[in-house]
Amino acid sequence: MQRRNNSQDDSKYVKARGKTVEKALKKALKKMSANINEVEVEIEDPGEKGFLGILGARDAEVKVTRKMRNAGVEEIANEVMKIILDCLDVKYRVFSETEGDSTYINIETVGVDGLLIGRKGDTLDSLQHLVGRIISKRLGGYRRMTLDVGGYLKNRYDIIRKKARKAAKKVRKTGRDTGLDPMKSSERRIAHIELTDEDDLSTYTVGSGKLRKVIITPVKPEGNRKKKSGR
Amino acid sequence: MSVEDIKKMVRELAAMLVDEPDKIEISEEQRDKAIIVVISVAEDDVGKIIGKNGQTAKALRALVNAASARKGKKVLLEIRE
Repeated sequence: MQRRNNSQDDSKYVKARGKTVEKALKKALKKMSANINEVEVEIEDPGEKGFLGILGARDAEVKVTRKMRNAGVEEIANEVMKIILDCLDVKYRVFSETEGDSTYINIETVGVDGLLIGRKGDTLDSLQHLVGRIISKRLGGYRRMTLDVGGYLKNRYDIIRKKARKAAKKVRKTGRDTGLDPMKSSERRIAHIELTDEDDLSTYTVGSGKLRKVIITPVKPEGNRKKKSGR
Repeated sequence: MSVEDIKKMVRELAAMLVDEPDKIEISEEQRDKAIIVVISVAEDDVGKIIGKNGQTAKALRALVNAASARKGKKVLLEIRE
């Protein structure tokens, strides 16, 4: 699995001190490697010049917080879902939460959850794609967002995580490769992520199209890593 | 009557995808037992409605499908250039 290296520091806020507010702010921005437009600034302490610059002098302190990258995502998703659900003429409720730079949105409807999810979540994938396109058009770039209906994805992902754990156990016990059922890419991703921290196991994908599946394999100790035999 | 709801949905969704929402045209045709909702957009917007590998078109069709299932009618979406 590839991990994207984000050059930006993702920590939520940075505090810095300096002789003046401006200097403190400059320092804080440097620490965060952000520019002034990307943050909100709070002055924690305006500082005190003191008498002759010595007596009673106190540094100023500022706190800068990175503006939420995902601001607006929820509103746009709401707007799109309203268009669709008004057409279906159903009552619904939207729940959403943003953690870091990813937003999870769950929609609960009265009676049409199944219709919006579709077979194996295919209609839900369509919804996700559409909302995603509109978000990136409006906000001028991709945002990480998961659109769910009736908690379907949450349940589904829980099941996949459990299956991955169970298969991992089997791999450890037998020392042999074990495959999970064929899944779509978003689901395989969950399985890969679930096992990334297990140093004695690695995961990869085989097959093509609808038959692509995750294989869990034991990692041989350094030095005598066995070559995969193609079978 | 209910086909109007579907046409409205398609128009509003398409308007959020394209650069020139004023140029969206939606009409309706009868073919055998199905109703065809036909959408056409500005030339430069056709790609946005279809999407990479037709993904956006597929998504719009999936929603038209879901809506028509709910309304008990067979409605298809056609994108015309």
